[in-house]
Amino acid sequence: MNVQLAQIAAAFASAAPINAINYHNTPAHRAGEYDRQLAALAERFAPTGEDELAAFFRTGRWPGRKPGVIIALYNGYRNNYDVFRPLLEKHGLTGWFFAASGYASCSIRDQIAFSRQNTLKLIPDEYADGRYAMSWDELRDLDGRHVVASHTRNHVRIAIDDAVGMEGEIVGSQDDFSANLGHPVRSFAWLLSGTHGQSPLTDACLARARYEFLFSDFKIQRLPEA
Amino acid sequence: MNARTPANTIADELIADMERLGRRPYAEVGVPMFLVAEDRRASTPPAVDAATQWRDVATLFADRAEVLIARKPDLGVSDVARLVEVFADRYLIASAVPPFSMIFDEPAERSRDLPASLSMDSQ
Repeated sequence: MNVQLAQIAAAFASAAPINAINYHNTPAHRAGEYDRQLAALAERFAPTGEDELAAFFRTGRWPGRKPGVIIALYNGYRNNYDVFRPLLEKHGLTGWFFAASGYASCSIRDQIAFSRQNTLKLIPDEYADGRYAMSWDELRDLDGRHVVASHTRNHVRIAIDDAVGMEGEIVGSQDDFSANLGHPVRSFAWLLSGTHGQSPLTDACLARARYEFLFSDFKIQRLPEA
Repeated sequence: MNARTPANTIADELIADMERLGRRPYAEVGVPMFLVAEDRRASTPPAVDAATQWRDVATLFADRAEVLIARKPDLGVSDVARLVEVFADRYLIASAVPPFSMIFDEPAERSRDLPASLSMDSQ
């Protein structure tokens, strides 16, 4: 069998996986769809943040009566804050806002160019003022009520042997969050489908940044204590 | 699977479902996924969730993985991801509701029967 598929099948056979829903842009014209999806999720799952995820890792079980679900919003789009956040709060659910820190720091004038350069898809003409990224004020508003997490600094793919690039995207992003939120973030999502244990260089950066959770295509890893 | 649901039919339905999900506008829709929990701190894995329903899904997943590989021996990462997506779409919430991707559809549009490729009865 395909090695990756065999590993996933074996993992599924040994323990129930973590349920996740991944979103990227959340434009207003789909608000009704998101509302119904979140209503369905709220019936079945408990609001789940990093403390609940840590408890799941410690015990193998979700702390509440209902199982947990990771509702992840990737890239740090403004429409996540404007459209999706109110729906999460209407249904009492917790969102995981994985933002590229450099996108939040980017001037409004440069955001469209930044998006084009860094594989960030935009909804055409969505915002007349040209601001497509969540601001640091908005991320600070989410912080605590929801999960704010790092999705690198620039949303760029870095070669596995590019030490400088990796330092900036993994550690530099954490520096950005620390400076703007007043504390480091606990979770990181990488672009390379990379997992802990594959590259000593990546592992060392993750340790320096002191992330607790690493999200990749098929896994959530709780990382070794730095 | 039983005699009424030959492997070819199951493979056809599975691939059709993978293609259906692949046509979604990924940049704007919610995509359910099952993520393996891996603790790099613990020397032993967390306690096994013994839920019967999940064991059945895991068994079905392993079976469908075999069927898919028999049809497509050169599976890529995107095929693996899409197979997991198909299962997450179908089973993340519960088997009693329509697949996650069809929650927004009108009842008439989603009133299809569960395909044999994702039915535990067809094992």
